[in-house]
Amino acid sequence: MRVIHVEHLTKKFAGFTAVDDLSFTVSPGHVTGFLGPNGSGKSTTMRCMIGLDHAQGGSATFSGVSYSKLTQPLHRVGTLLDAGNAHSGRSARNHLMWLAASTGINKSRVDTVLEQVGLGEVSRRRVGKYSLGMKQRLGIASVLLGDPEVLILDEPVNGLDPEGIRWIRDLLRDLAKEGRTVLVSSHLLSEMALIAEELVVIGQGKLITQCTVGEFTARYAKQWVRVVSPQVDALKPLAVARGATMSEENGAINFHGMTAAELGELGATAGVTFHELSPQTGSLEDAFLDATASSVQYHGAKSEGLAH
Amino acid sequence: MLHLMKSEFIKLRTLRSTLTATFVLIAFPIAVTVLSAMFAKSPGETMVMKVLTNTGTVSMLLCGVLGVFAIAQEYSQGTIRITFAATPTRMKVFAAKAIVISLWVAISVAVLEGVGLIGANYALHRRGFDFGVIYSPSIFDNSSGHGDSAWQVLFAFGIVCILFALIGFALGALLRSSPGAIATLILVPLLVEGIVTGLLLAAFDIDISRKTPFTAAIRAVQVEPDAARWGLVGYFSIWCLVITVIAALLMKRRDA
Repeated sequence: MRVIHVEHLTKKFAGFTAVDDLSFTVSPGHVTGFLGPNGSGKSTTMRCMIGLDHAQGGSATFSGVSYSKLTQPLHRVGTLLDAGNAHSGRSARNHLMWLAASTGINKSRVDTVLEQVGLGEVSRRRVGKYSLGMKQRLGIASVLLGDPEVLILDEPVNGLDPEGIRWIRDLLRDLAKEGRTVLVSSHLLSEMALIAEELVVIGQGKLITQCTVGEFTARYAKQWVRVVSPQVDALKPLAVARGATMSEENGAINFHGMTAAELGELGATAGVTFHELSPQTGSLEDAFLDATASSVQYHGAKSEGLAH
Repeated sequence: MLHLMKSEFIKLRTLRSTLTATFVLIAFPIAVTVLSAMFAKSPGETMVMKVLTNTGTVSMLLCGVLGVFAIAQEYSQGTIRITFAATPTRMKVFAAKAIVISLWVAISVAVLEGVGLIGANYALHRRGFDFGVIYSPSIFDNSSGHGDSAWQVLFAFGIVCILFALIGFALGALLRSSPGAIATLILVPLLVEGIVTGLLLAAFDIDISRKTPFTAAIRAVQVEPDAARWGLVGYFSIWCLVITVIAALLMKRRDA
């Protein structure tokens, strides 16, 4: 029940394809980040996985069984698609009570999960009075209610304060360590880098890559060598002759297209003294932006454009 | 199925809007009926029953509103996704909701009728009248041409209230919007049916006044109906059934 297989999943709405022949696998034991820019099809994919949206093609299975065929799915797969999916006029406790009753979960479990997510003292307050962060916690409580083996969460850190973010990060890691399968979507790679070990990256509904965070960085992050030297002008033409490009940054020169070892050897032959020769790696955020650059659906205006 | 029904019952009883609508649908006809019994110049069984069923028209509409609430609020608040995630077999959810809202309305109407008649009976006794509906329910002082007993009127009223709840539920499922479904539920019987009937009569000399479904439902609960009571109830039931089946099929097919 613990491995999620998504195979050739396709979901079309009038006029466009939201999920396009998407395939990936999510394994238990670690958190898998489901990444993509806004509008890339993450939420639609998750809705198709649990049968809320009807896919036109492909399948999503939980150890070979489709979600609709699961008996008592709350005990198998816990899902959080939108923290706002709770009636604003109902208390958090009553919200979980009806959910628990629908599959025969004991009332005491409701109080247990409310305490677990830190809402025990405010559980009788109406959801409409909750902050977004509290609603997220309620959403997590509904996921945990059935003590499921698989957890699917769509942007769970939205609206959480730093303490809440750390809490959910630790919770998801702990759940994964227990051998559960955890799939978490986000458009923030920096957050995913702290939670996830594996990434499924999509853009415009298509799979861009599935790999570990380390592999993703190695494949997509920019790498360069930062050089500080009194004789850097002597090094520049030699590096250019070998195909390197350069840029200046705070008194240092960044060399692109050569490794630190190559630059060190080149400098030694030319008698260049180095005060700094350090390999640099671009941020995961930059790597993510580079990987998904061609598939971003909604671009913002550049800041200089906005200034006019 | 029992788990699902319990879940749906919790949903209904934990919302202020549902409880308020239920209170009004019960209290309004009771209050008017008892006040009529207290102050009417020439009270009797037929008068009390007429007041109860006529003011009960408001209750019928409120039963429809409860039906709308049972499903449309789930769409507007997003809880339908949690409901379907917990129970992927949507027809089970549909059936559980329909059964629970029907039982809810049936009990509410039973309370309305029981308390209304007992209250009216008590008021009349205090005035020295001997009110007979409760003691000899088969006889009206002004019996209709269809030979209906008070029990038949009360039973028909209960059935029509349940049908209103179901048609409201079906409209809520179709439109997925409380304001849209409630507007449809109120405007069709009060306005649209009359306008369409008038237009067809004026333009094409076609009279559908005896075929409009909501009007048939309201005629069915009159103390002295102008047609066979159970024929009118059956006719409205067919409309409810058709709309409910369409709503169920669409709920199964559409994305949540």
